[in-house]
Amino acid sequence: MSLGLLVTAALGAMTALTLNRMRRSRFRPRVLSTARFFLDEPRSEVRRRWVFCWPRWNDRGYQMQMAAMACLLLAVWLHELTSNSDDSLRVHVCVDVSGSMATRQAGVTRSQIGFELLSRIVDQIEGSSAAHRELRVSLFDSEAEELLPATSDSTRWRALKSEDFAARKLGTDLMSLRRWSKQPPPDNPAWRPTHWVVISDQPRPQWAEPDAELPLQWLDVADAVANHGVAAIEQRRDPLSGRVEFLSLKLRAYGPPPSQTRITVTRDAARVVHEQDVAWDANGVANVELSKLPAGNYRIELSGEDAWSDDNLVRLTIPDATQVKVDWRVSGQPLPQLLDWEASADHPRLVVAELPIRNAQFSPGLPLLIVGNGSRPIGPRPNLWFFCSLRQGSPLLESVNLDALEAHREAVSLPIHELLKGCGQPGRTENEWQCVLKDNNPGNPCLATLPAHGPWGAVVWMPVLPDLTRLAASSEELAWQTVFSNAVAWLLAEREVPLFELTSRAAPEPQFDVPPFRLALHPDEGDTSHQSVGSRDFEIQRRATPEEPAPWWQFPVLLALLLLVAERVMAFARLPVF
Amino acid sequence: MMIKRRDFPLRDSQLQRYRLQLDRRASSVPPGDRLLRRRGQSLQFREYAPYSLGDDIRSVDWRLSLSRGAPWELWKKTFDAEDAQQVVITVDTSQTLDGSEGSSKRVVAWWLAEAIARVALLGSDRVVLHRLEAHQPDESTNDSSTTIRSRDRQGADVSSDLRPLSDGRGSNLHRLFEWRGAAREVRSMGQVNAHLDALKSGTLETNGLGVIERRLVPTAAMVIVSDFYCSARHSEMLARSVDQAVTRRCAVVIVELDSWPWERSLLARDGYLIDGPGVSVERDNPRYEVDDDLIARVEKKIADNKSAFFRRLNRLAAHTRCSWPAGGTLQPETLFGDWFENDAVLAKLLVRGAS
Repeated sequence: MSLGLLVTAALGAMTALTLNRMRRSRFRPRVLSTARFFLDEPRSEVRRRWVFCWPRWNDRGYQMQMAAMACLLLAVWLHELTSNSDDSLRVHVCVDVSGSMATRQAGVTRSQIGFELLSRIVDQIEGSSAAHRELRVSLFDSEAEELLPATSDSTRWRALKSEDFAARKLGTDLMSLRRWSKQPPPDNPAWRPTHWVVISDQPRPQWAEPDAELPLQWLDVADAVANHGVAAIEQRRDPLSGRVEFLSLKLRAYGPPPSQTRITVTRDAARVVHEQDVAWDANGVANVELSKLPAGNYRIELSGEDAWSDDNLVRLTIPDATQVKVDWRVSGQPLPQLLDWEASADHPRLVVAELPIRNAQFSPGLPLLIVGNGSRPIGPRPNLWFFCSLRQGSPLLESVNLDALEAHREAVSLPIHELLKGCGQPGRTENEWQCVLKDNNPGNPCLATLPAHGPWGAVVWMPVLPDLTRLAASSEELAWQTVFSNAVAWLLAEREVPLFELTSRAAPEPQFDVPPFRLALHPDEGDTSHQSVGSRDFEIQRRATPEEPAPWWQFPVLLALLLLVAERVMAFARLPVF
Repeated sequence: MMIKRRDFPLRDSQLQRYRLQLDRRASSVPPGDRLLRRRGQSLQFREYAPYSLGDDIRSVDWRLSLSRGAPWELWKKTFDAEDAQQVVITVDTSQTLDGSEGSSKRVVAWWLAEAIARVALLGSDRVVLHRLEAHQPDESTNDSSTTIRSRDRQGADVSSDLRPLSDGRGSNLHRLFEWRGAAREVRSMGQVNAHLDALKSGTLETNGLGVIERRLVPTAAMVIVSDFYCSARHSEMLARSVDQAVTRRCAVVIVELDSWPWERSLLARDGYLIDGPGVSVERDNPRYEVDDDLIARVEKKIADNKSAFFRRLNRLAAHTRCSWPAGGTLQPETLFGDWFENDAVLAKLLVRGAS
C-alpha cells in the first residue's frame, strides 16, 4: 500500500472523527438554579437533533482518538523516514570481461564502452548529495571476482584503468554472476548495495528483470555488428580405438554474411589439406566436414575481417590412435585378433583380465577390464536372478536390453572386496566402486565401475566375456556384447586425447603454437547479433535493494491501538472523564 | 466551592466609613418595629418621668422634685437598657446557589454575610455566623457546625457552636428553631475571619446549635441570605420558622439573591437542555423549545413562589433584594457601592440607636 494512500486513510479517519465530534445536540446545555421551575413545562418532542459546531477540544475521548490517529500518521511517517533514512550510496558495479567484450563496435571495444559507462557512474556518485558514498567493482566472465572492494575513497575509484577491464579469452557464466551477487563481500559481510549495476554485452537474463528477484540496472553495451567464425567443432571417433573418423565444423555468420569467406585447413607445416569457399545459408550457417584426417596438428582459418577475431582461427590435434594395444590376459578367446587389436604387454592402452586373478601386477594408470571366467558359471544358480538396482545413465548400459541381461542365468556376481583384491589397486576402498547392476541375492555387483583416481586407471567389472567370434544368437548374448563394447569404449575414452582445450581461469590465454592447443571458442561468445535495448544510463534514483526499515514505526502503531482500546473501554465504562 | 479570605472585596477602611455613615444618619433612619431600643437599667439617661408607686425609690431625682415645688410630687430618672444586639447571619448553601452558570451566588452570599458581620461588629453588636446546609439527608455530620473559640474583651474564653439542621428531606430552614448547642459572642474581626474560613471549609467540629435559639431573644436580628428558589413546601416551612422567630420578638431580615435576570439572559429562542438542582437529565428529559411564552410562564412561577413566601412575611420581616444584572456577573463595586451601602433595610438592621 502506498504512502499516499495510508496518509489519506489516516487523515480521512481524523476528519471523520472530527466531524463526528462536531455533531452537537441541538439542545444546548444550560445549568440554571431555576431549573426546577421548568419541570412543569412541556418538553420538546424531539430527543435527538444534531447541529454542527466546533468540536470540544477538551473531550478526552476525542483527544484519545485524535492521538491514536496521529500515532498512526507518525507510524507511516516513521516507516517512510526509516526506509529512506539511509542517506548513503553504495553502488556495486559488475563489469563483464568475457571474451565477447573484445568485440569491436564503432571503432572501440565493448570493454572500452563499459569502462566509459563505469566512469560516468563514478561521476554520478561523486556528484550525488549522499552523505556516504561507496563503490564496489567486480569483474565476471566464467566466474566473478572482486576488482575494487567497497570503498568510499574516490581516489581509488579514479585509479581504475581501462586495462583493468580488458576482455579475457573466457566464456560468460551469468549464473556465476547471480551467485556472486548473493554473496556479501568477504571483508564486510554486512555490506549491502543500494545500487547494483551490471555492465555486459549479454542480454538481460530473466532473473535480472526489473521486477524479478534481484532488481538491478543492466547496462547492455552490445550493438549488433557483423561477425563470422567457427561456432562449434564436432568429432566422431571409433569407440574402441578412439580414432577420429570425422570432423564437422559449424560456422556461423552473425549479421550480414561476408560476400566471400574462405576456409583453409592446414596440417603441420603449412600443408594445405583442405580449402574451400564457405557457402552460407539464409540463416548464416555453414557446415564444413573433414573426414579421414591423418594424425597431426591442424590449423583451420577463416578469411575476412570481422568484429571478433577469436573464432576465426582454430588449432587442433588429431591423435594417432589407429590401433589399440591391449594386454590380453583371458584364455581361450581370440578377441584381439578379431578386433584388430594388437596384443602387447608393453605400453598397452588396455588390460583385460579374467577371474580369478592371483598375484596379478598391473601398471598404474592403465584401464582394466575384469571379466568372469568365460561363459562358464562359477557356481550353481538354482534360482532366477534379477537386478535389484541399476545406475541410471551409466554409459555401460547404453543400448543394452536389461531384460536380456536379467534372463542370463550364467551371470555371476562377486563381492566388492573380491573385486578390489583382484584389480590390484592397493589403497582404494570399496566405497569408490560404482555398482551399475547389483544382484538381488546376495546383493553383490554384477556390473561395476571404478573411476580413475590418482595413479590408477579406471576399472570395469563384468561377469562374463561374451563370445565375439560369431553373431549373437540370442538377445542375452547380444546384450553382453553391447555391455562389453560400452565398457571398452568407456575405458578407452578415459585416455582419449582431446583435439584442443578451451581457455579457463587457470589458463586464460589461447595457445596456437604448440600442442595442446588452447582455444577461446566458448559458446555464444562470437554471437554479435544482439542489439541492446533500453537505456545505458545509470539511474541513481533507482535503488536496487531498499533498506529494511527500522522497526520504530511499530511502536506508534502499538500506542495507537492501546489508545483506541483504552478510549473504547473508558467510553463503555462511562468513566468520569467522558 | 472554597472561598478564600482574600476574595472579600472590601477593605476595613471602607467598612468603617460605611459604619460612620450609618451612625451619622442614625437619627434619620425610620425606626423599625423590631429595632427599637427598650428602656431599662443602664447608665444611658433617657428622660424624667413621674414617680409611681412601686418604682425604685433610688431612681428619684430629689433635686428636680424639690425644684418643681409641688408637694409630694416626685420625679424619677429613666435610663436606656444597654442590651447589645444579637445578629444571627444565616447563609443558605443549598445547591441552587451553585446551580447557575456564572452567577456566583454563593460567593456573593458569603461576601454579604461577612460585610454585615463586620459592620455589626464595628457597632459592638454580637454576631453569629451560620452556614445553613440543605440537601444533606440523614447525615447529621455533614451539617456544618462550627465552634469558634476566642477571647472576649474581658479575656474570657468564648465559643460559638453552630449546627444547621437537617430533616433529611431537603431544606433545613423549617427546623430553624430546633437547633441546639451553645454560643458565645464573637466580637473581633479576627474571629469573624476565622469563623468564616472554618464555615467555608467545613473542618470545624460539629456541635449543637442551641446557642442560636438562645440568641434569638427580643432585640436580636436574624439575617437570612438565600436565593429562595426552594420548593413551595420548603418555602412554607421557612415561613413558619420565620413566624416563630418573629414570635420571639426578633427582627428578621431577608436578603434575597435574585439571579433570574441573569439566567433569563442565557436563554434565547432555541432548544435547551436545562439542568440544575432538583432536575435529573435522565429521568426528567429536560429538553425545551424555549420561547417567550415559556420564559414568561417560568418567570411567573418563580415570582409566585417567592411572592407566596414574602406575602406571608410582609409584616413580619424586612426584605431586600440583590439582583444580578442580565449582562453578566455581579461586580463587587456594583454590589457594595450601589446596593449594599444604600439599602435601607440593611441600614435599619445595622444602625444603633434608631428610635
